[in-house]
This record gives sequence, C-alpha cells and structure tokens, in this order.
Amino acid sequence: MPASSDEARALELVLEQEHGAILAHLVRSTDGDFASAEDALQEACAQALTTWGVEGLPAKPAAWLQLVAKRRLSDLTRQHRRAERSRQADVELDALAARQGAVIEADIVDDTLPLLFACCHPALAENARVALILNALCGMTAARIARAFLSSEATIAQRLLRAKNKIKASGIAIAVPAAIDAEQAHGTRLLAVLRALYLLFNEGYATSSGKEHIATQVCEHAILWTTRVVDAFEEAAEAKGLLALMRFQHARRDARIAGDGSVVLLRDQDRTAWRHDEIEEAARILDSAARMFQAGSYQIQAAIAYAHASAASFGETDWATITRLYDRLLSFEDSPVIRLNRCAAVFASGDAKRASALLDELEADGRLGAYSYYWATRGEICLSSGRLEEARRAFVHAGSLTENEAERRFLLGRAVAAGAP
Amino acid sequence: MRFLLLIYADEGAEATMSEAEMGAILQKHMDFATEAAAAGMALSGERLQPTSTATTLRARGGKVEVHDGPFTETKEALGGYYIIDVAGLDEAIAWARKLPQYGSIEIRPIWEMGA
Repeated sequence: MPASSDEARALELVLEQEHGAILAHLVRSTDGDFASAEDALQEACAQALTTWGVEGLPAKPAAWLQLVAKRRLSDLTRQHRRAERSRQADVELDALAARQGAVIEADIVDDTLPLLFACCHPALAENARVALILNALCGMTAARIARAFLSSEATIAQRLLRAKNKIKASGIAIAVPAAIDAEQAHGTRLLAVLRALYLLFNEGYATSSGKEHIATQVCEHAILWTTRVVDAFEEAAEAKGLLALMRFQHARRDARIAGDGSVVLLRDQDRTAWRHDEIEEAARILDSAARMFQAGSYQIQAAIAYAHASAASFGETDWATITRLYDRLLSFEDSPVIRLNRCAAVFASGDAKRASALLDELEADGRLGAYSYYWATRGEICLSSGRLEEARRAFVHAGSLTENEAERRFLLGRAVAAGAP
Repeated sequence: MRFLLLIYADEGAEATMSEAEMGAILQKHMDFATEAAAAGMALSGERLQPTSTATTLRARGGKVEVHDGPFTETKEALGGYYIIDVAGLDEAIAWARKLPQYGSIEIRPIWEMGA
C-alpha cells in the first residue's frame, strides 16, 4: 500500500513524538491562531510526503516541518496583507524560501512551555485545559481524547474549538507569565498548570480498564510535561511533589490491571510486578522536594503514595502514618474525597469504630452521594461489622455509579460476597 | 488590544452603604484613572444611573416595543464600565484587579473592525 511508505511512517513517528514542539511555535508566532497554525502544519505534512519521498528524510524532520509550516503561515499573511505589503517582509520570506528544500541546519524552536501556560490559563474551563494539552501538545485527535475520557468526539471537538477560539479572541498570551509581575500571580499560574497536569494524569489513571493503551499514554504524557515543568521551575517544590506522585502511581501500572482487563485492588496487587526502580526514582524526587521546605498538597499526596509503595505487603502498610498524612493534607485542601480517603485509611488501620464515625460525618455532608468509592467504602465498613444487607446494597449502588466496567464487576462480586449467607 | 470591563454590583447593597464606604470606592476609581494616566494607557469609562432608570427596546415579531426596566432583572446589575487598551488578557485582569472588588467584573475583548 503506497500510503504506508517509509516517509509516511517517518512522518507519523515525528508527529507522535514532536507534534507539540512543532505546533507550539506556530501558535505562538500567530498570537494564538490555532486554526491557521494547524492548517499550516497539515500542509507541511502533505508536502513532507512528496518531498521526503524524492529527497530522502531530512536530518531534523521536526525542524523541517516547522520551518515549512511557518513559511505557509507567512504566505497566508502575505496574501492577507497584499495591499500593505512591506518590502522588508518580502526580503525575509525570500530568505526563508531559499532555505527550504536545502538541508536545514536550524533546530526546532521550542515554545511548548509558553503554549502549556496558555492552555492552562484560568480563564479557560478546567476540562478544556486538559483536552487542550492532549490535543495541542500531545497531538491527540479529538476522537482519541474522547476515547480516553469516555466522552463523545463531538463533545471534545466542540470543547477544543471553543477554547482555541477563546485563546485567540480574548488575548490570552502564548507566554510563560513574567515572574516580575507579582510572585503571587506567577505562582497562581504555575499552580493552574500543575492542577491541569494532575487532572490529566488522573484521567489516564481512572480510565485504565479496556482502554489501557490510550490511558497509559495519557499518564505518560502527563509525566512528560510535568518533568518539563520541574526542569523549568527548579524552585517549585510542588511541581516536584506532583511528579513524584505521578511516578509512584505509574510504577504500579502492570499490577493494577489483570489479564482480563479488570482492576486489581491495591490489597491484591502482585507487588513484585511494581517497577521498583521507578519507585526509587520517585522517592528521590520527593526527597529533593521535601528539602525545599515548602510543603504542599502534592508533596503530601506523594508521601501517601510512597507509604503504599514502600510497604512489603498490604498487611504491613503503615496505616498510622498514612492517616496522619491525610490529616495533614486536609489542612491544605479540605474536600469530601480526601475525607473519604482518610476514612478508608483509618478503617484499614483497624480502627473500625472511628472509620464508622468518619463515614457518618460524610453521610451528613451528603456531597459524595453520587461517588462510587464512597459507597464501596461504606460497603466494606458495613461488611466488617456484620451489617450484610446494608453492605450488599452499598456495593450494588457503588457498582451502578461507576463507568468503569472492571470496577463494576469487582463491586458486584463484593455484593455477592456480602449477600451470601 | 482593547477590553471592556463591565462592572456588576448589587444595587441594593450599594444603596445601604455608608458615606465612608462609598467614598472609599470612589477614591479607588479615581486612583485607577490616575494610575492609568501615569502608565499612559488610554482609558474611558462611565458610571451608570441605577437600573430603576433603565429603558429597554425589544424587537418582537417585526415590531420594536419600548419597556420600562433593564434587559434582565438580576441581583447584580451593570453599574458602570471602562474601556482599557492593553497587551492582552493577563494585563486586562491585572488592571481589573485594581478596581474596587465588591461584585463582579466581566472582561470582554472589543471586536475590532478589520482585525
């Protein structure tokens, strides 16, 4: 089949690895005009298929694509500005044209961090920020993002279009905000970036079953971009904390999913299948964050993940430490989900009475009524105290609230266990 | 690029403000204008009379009717506006933050002709 020629495969590989780097500079040079930047890149790809077939693969294919796409953009600008065309612009374009086709020595212009900050601007909807990172920086199509997010392609495409239009029309700068402006504002924007990367990772982590391949890719993209942020902001302890957190969780990927695609609970995971070298690396990152003495919620969550990752078995988990870490986490960020996790940790530490009291608080709070894990935890606590019927109903309800097929099967299994006399 | 800052506030709360509170708010608006002038930023804007003075034209079935009252009755009503000229949204947000904060400020880019 001629379409799967060498140059087509080479192009696919370059785009898979460097789509974000190629596109970011194009978006930046058009002040956020995604539509023109994407069109130009598409045209450059079409040209690559013919040119590369004749002249062979260029030394730096990504830089080649970026330069050719940039020339397309300049052509467009020239057409638009024909009336007020400046001689200077023509001279520059001619120089650019002369370089094209020849061996390109220039490296790719990497504007990915500026684009990352623009995609995570607080003026954009939170779910749009995550989709934008995947689309603009990771090169995932709306269809693939929809599959990873268990959403429809039309919904994701609409969300992306709206966010891209807003970036252009509302004057969101494709830039890393200047620290001089105010340390406060700088920190806020950085936290917004970390938050989006955290949500991105969780999307991948939570949808692991069935769609494993895409989900693992989403997690790896999140880790990659967080690593870039850590490298660029060495003074940000929370960025390191977030990276450590992701790497602890990701190190367990092989043990989390059974051969049939079902979720394996932490309790039942084969700990020899964890990537212990990655756990050690994550611990080093967390340690270097802790030495900066700027505690924050990502570092505490990473410390919780570390406590789990360093336990030889589920039974030997240091639940007392984990419970204390959750107490600490609540002082940074109070949410019913964190309270639920603390409740589960207290239960695992063997203090069923306190766990039951914490669960009652959560029930009174009422905000977790549609949250599957709340009902699953409730089921376990009821089961341990012999309230079988209540446990069975909680598991069935938990199963009806999850969209994850493997988890649903697990919960219904727990319901059967509770229902058996 | 130019942005319109639409200042929304609870008119009822404004009506019960003390003279000192109102004075502090007006002072902040004056400081805002002074700072804009010092920064060389083109600025225009006005305070509006309350919505009880509003009149609305509404097109319906090919006819235009005149109504008493604002376009919509909401708790927070448009009380004034500024037009500022800055580099982008971040700068617009930074300027809007300098205004007295007791309601909402909507930031809208101006649709420039020929842009």
